[in-house]
Formats: sequence, C-alpha cells, structure tokens
Amino acid sequence: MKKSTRIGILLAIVVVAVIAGMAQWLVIRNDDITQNANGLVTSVEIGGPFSLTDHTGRQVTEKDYLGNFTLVFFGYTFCPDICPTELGDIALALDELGDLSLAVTPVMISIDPERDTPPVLAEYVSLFHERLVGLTGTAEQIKDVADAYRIFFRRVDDPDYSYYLMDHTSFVYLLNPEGDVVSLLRYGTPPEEMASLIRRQLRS
Amino acid sequence: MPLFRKFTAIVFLALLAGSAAQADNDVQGELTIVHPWSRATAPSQKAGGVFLKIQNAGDQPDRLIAIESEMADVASLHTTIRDGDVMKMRPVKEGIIVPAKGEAELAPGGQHIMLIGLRERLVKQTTFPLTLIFERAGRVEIVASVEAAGARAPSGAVGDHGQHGAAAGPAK
Repeated sequence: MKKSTRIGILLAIVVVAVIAGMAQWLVIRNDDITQNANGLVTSVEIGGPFSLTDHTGRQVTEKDYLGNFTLVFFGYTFCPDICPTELGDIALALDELGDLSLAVTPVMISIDPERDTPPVLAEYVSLFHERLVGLTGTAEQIKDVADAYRIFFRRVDDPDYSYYLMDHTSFVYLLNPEGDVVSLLRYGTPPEEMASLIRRQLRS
Repeated sequence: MPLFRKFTAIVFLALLAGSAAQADNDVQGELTIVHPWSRATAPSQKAGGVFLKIQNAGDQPDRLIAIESEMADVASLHTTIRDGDVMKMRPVKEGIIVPAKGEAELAPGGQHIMLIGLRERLVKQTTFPLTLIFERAGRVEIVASVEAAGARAPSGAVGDHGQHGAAAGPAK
C-alpha cells in the first residue's frame, strides 16, 4: 500500500470519527454507513437528491451541478455575521485557486425560504462571487435538503421585535463531480486551507 | 540624503493624517472607538452588522448599552454563539462592558451591532453615522466605513497606522 493511500485511509477514518462524534443533531444512521468486508468504514451518506429553485428562478436538481465540483453552504440573507464571513472566505478560497476555481461551483442554499425568494438571493449572491449560485425552495424542499445534509436550522423569534433570526449549522460541503460529499469544512476554516483541500481533491 | 529624508517624513505624516481621518476614531473622555466598519448589502437585504473596537484608557469600566442609527429601524447589540457547529445569534441585553485600561472588540463571529430593517442599502466605500450610548461616557457619535460584503476586517486594518493614531488619540 502506498504511503499516500495509507494516509488517505487514516484521514478518512478521522473524518468519519469526527462526523460520528458530532452533536446530537447530526445523527448518522447505521444504514448510512458503508463498511468493507473488514469492517472499515468507507463512506457516510450525506447529501443526495434535491429539488430547488435557483436565484434566476430556474427549477433545478442535484443533476444540474454534476460534472463540476460544488461547494455547498447553508445560510440566509438576513444574517449579518456568519454568512457574509463564510461566503467571503469561500470567494477568497476560489480566488486563491485561480483558473482551477472554474472546476468548482459555489452554492448557497437558503434555510430561510420565507425571506429568500429568488430575486432577493440574486441581489445577495452577486455581492460575493460572480459565479455564486443561490438556491431556495418551498419550506418542505428546504427541509428535505437540510435533512439530507444533516443541517440543523431553527427559526428564532425575538419577542421585542417583529423580525426573526435563524440558528443554523455552518458547514461547507465539497461535492465531487459525481455529486458525492468528499469533504466537510467547519466554519472558520481559513480560505487558504479551503483552497488547498479543494486543490487536493481536484488532483485526486 | 536630506531630500529623501524630508520626502519620507512627508509621506509618513501624510499616511498618519490620512489613516487617522479614515479610521474615524472618536474620542470621548477616555474612550477611543477604533475602525468602526460594516459590510456592503444588497438592496433587498434588510440587516447589516457593524464591527469596531472600544479602548478604555480610564480607571473605571464603562458599558456600551445602546445604539442609535438613522440607517435602520432598530440597532441593537448581538452576539454570535457557537454551539457545537450550530451558529446562533442572540441579543446582548446586558450591554457590552469595556474594562478599565482595557478594550472590547466587536468583530465577525462574535459581538456586533446589528442594524435591523435597513432603510437604505450600505454601499461599499461609503460611510454612515451612528451613535454609541455608554453608561458613563454617554453619547459617542461615530462614522462607520462600508467594506466589501464578505470582508473579514476593515481595509487597511492590518499593520495599519490608524490604530497607532487611535492609541495616541486620548492625549489630544
């Protein structure tokens, strides 16, 4: 076994262990985990099919993004802190990749479809990156895709004001051209680290 | 080379003056507000964050208790709480304490001023006024600069001269 393969397997085990050990909302069901004959965990099912509307109003599914790597972030536009920070970092990571970044489609899926209609998303995504795709949908469609990605989100009303905020998981997922989740990046991953991880995946 | 030295001195002074003006530091008594900044918003975006640092040169702690701004229906203090990998934003009802001889930082991923119900869009490279209300120092008028939508820090804040200018501020 080549050294890089061994490291790769070790890394995969660590990633799986980290995922498995996460907070209660990230429930990995037994039937989501694929093991090989020796009991080695080879994949964890995260992601899958979705049906949503993009920021131009087009109906899309996961199939529309196959063939390219995809960086997926779940957020909302009425979010002054975490979402702009994360989207700014994604844009920086793509800049750092230069021409290689064309192999990656950045996507933000809204967990606040009530406010984030396609026109609202269209104005928002253009602030961060020219190729950033905004996706929204019905409450049910959003719940389905969030469940598939193990995203927790919850509306929080403030009794003092007539507005609401959203609690939400802030992972960034990297999907390969086949649509499989190959990496999971936590909030605060520096853009350079994001870029080098994407570069490694592009090469493999 | 005297000419070169003179030139360097002029450039240095110009930098200092320029960055001090750009930093929009407001000094009231013992408080210095360093680099208040915000992020560009889309026309349909109804919320924005304001970030800054408050330095307290005095012997008494102070507390930031409220914000006033013409830019939004409501301006309030919020903090981002990281609960595992879930991000939660909550109002800071007790205000933000600025310790004596210390500082408080409002920065992305932590405490910030939230402008709710923006009345106009925040446009990159413009500025807007807001008022910080402190328990002891009272009202402090400041001007925040608008950076790119995904900015992590105010432009020029890294290795920047404005901060030194600000530190020297209370002596003025």
